Amino acid sequence: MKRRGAEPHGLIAGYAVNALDEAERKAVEAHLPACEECRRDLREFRETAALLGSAEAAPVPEGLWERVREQAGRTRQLPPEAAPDRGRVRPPRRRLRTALPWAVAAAAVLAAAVLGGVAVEQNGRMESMRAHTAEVEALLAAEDTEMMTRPVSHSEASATLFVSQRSDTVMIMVEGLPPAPDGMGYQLWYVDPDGMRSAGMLHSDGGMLTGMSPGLGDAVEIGISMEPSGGAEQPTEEPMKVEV
Amino acid sequence: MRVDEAVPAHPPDGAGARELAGLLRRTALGDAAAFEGLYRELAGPVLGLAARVLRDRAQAEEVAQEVFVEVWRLAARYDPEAGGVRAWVLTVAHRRAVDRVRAEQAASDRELRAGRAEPRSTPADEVPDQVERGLDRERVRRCLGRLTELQREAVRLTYYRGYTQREAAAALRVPLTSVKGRLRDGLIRLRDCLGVAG
Ligand SMILES: [Zn+2]
Repeated sequence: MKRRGAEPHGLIAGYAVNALDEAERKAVEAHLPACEECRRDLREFRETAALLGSAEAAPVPEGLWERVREQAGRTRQLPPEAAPDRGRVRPPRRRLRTALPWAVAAAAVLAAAVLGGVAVEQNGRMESMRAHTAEVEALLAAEDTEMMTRPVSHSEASATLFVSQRSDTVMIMVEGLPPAPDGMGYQLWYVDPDGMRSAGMLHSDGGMLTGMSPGLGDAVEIGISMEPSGGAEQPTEEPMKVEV
Repeated sequence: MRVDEAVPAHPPDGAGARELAGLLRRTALGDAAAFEGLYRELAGPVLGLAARVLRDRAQAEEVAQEVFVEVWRLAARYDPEAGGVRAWVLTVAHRRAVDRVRAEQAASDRELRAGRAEPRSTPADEVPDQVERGLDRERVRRCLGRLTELQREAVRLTYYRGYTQREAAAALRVPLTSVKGRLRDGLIRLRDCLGVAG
């Protein structure tokens, strides 16, 4: 990774006047959601460029409006995008809809991992497995589902999350945590401003922990703690945290 | 402090930012009259900018038509946080015009493939001084005049000619990093001179 602040910062002017090559343009677009300063620069450079453009104003032939109106009349208007939740400040997320191919591929891999875990866990209970498959698919297909990769605090582990506010659901895959001893497991918690709620036990599958849980609510973080396999009412140790 | 208003209070002789935002909001709801209002306000700048970049009147009209159909299609997706309506529409227009220039350039490069140092010929500065274009044009001309030579060339080649920074560096025979720096400095100076920054 490049040091944060190096390249994309310096490319905003070029981006504002469409003077970047393809790779640079993608680098900027990946950087923008994370950088308030660059978004502000871009806004100002575009306003500036718009004044340069406006100064070029030319007389418009009458026939042009007829052609525009005719073509617009045959063109369907797109609905607004799902409104982003501006209620609280969070690290940037990547919307699945606009995600790069690698994110889609990662989504498929993760879905397979979760489904695999569920299938093993619930071997012999095909009903609930099928229900779970549908839930995963629904989450991946939801308009507002976002994918994030986050460090897990107090550990070397990292978590990949799929979050949909609208379906109130989180799917998580954690890599890098040591296996739990016999009789123990990793429990997931929703961390609200005023307490924690259990979000169920994570499935362990080949060094990977996976889980999917409804009831996200207003949780600001996700906690992970080691608990007896049956789960605990409240965490018995301070959970590791993952931001959402 | 920075004021929450991205657009200078008015573009002279045109609708204000707020009025354009209102027209766009109604356009997003399928209001054809509002869409026409938006078109009447912005068709001149869109067409003129496209003609400046493309230097071809017929192609500029095609671009303008594409731009307004896109505005119609995407009206509901406009994000006020990313800037004013005028800036949004002109950004779309500029991008489309530049895309055409590049596509043509790629085609003629394939034909030529002669390996000249300059990607394109660069006729002397043609920063506008045709006819009476009113306050806007005069103000822009004055602000462009305050840039250093290299800043102005960087802005001219990229914005008005559709060069990439890399092509501009080759044309000007300076390192890419100086084009990047001068373009940025130039836009900042223009921004301040034109009163965009708060
Ligand atoms: Zn930045």
